[in-house]
Amino acid sequence: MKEPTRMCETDELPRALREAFGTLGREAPSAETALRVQRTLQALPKAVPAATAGATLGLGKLLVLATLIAGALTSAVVLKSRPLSPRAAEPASVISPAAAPAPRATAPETQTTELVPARSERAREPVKPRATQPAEDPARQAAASPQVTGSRQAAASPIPVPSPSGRGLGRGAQRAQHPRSAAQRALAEDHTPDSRQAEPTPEQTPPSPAAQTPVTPQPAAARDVAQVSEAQRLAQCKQIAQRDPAEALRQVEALAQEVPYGALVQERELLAIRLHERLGHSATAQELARRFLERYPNSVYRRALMP
Amino acid sequence: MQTMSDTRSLGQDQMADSALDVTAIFKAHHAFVWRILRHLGVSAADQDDVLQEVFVVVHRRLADYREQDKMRAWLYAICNRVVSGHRRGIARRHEDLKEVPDVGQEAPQPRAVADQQALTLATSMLATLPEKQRAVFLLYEIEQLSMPEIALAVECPLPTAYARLRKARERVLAEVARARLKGELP
Repeated sequence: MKEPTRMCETDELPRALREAFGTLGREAPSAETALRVQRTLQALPKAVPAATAGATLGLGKLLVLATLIAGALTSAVVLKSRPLSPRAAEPASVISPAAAPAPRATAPETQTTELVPARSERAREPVKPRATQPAEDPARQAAASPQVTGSRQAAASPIPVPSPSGRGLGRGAQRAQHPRSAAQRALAEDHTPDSRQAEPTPEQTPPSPAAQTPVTPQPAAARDVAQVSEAQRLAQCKQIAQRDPAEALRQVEALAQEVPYGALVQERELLAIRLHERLGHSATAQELARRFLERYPNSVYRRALMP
Repeated sequence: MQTMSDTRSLGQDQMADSALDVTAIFKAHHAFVWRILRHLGVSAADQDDVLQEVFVVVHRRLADYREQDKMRAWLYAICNRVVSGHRRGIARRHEDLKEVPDVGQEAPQPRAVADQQALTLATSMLATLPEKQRAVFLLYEIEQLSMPEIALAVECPLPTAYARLRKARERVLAEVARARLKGELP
């Protein structure tokens, strides 16, 4: 299929408009911004080649599969060896607190097990089979605790622990970890192995909020500026409109220039119409309202603008 | 119209041949990404952060890049996803924000006064387009991507991309006619 000639290369558009489109196509970030982002990117660890990544992924899948198969086999063997004792097949993590021999010795373990409700018939069962378990349980828990505690710690910790390659950390978790900028998230990934080693065990005191804050604090003013959004600008315009409609209109027009395709275009245009009405520009307000209704025939604000 | 001279001089072909490196991709395409973010509705205050976030994602996903010579289409798709997440983040942050900073800190970029009117008209024309048509129109007319690249970028079949472009052009020409009637354009 032959591509059509671009409009800006023909006379279909007026010259002024062609130049305006050209200007839009030449916009670029400031040199300072580009340099700052480039430095951050250079600080990132080298990307994993596709072949290595694929091999790592394949190895990971193989390990998970092997673990699952081993777990299933172990469960089957235990069930067969103790057919009369349904509790014997249960893993240590689902034993009810009433059955645990030393409920407070391993605090994180028992906190999790308390979440598992013991069935009433099981609670009424005699505790006879468990009489032999105190000797087994500490050993079993000790064997299971490095993995279980490690994974739970990672899940419960406010700072997720990604793998050294950064693959273990989801995007949502990354945002929760460092909500301010991608640069600090990226830099944080570099420090991941150290931070994992420094993380306290559950027996130690929980990490203080100060310890969870990132290494390089960002100035509050810069953070606030970065958080300014279209919605906040619009809300501020509404506040200004109460005392100075002309200034509010200027702000709304500036917002239209800056965020021409934002999520709140209709709200912005509606506010502009109202401000024109308050300023006595009835012809402009009517023209804007007409265009609004034409552009957004199904808008929820349609009734508000109907004559 | 000669646009994106900086990007084209480095060229996606050259990028495809050389070893992929996020810094090289950034040097070649940061202006393109910058404009796309603006067209996708990212405010000027957030544009720096989102730009950086896009290239961090590029760095992370570089191993998945398979489409040779389609770098800008790939970047556009990443921009689209990052901006979607950014919008959700704004909604969350907005609930927590107690103080509104001074509006003066977010003044628009200075431009020549003579161009301002035409730019205003151009942006308002683009704003009248539905989102999907606008994306195709921008990528074809302003960013000068090829239609197969655009179809890949906006993740639609090629005929659909052509249909969107045709409808967008019709709308823009209708807006031009209307502006001429009102005397806003010669």
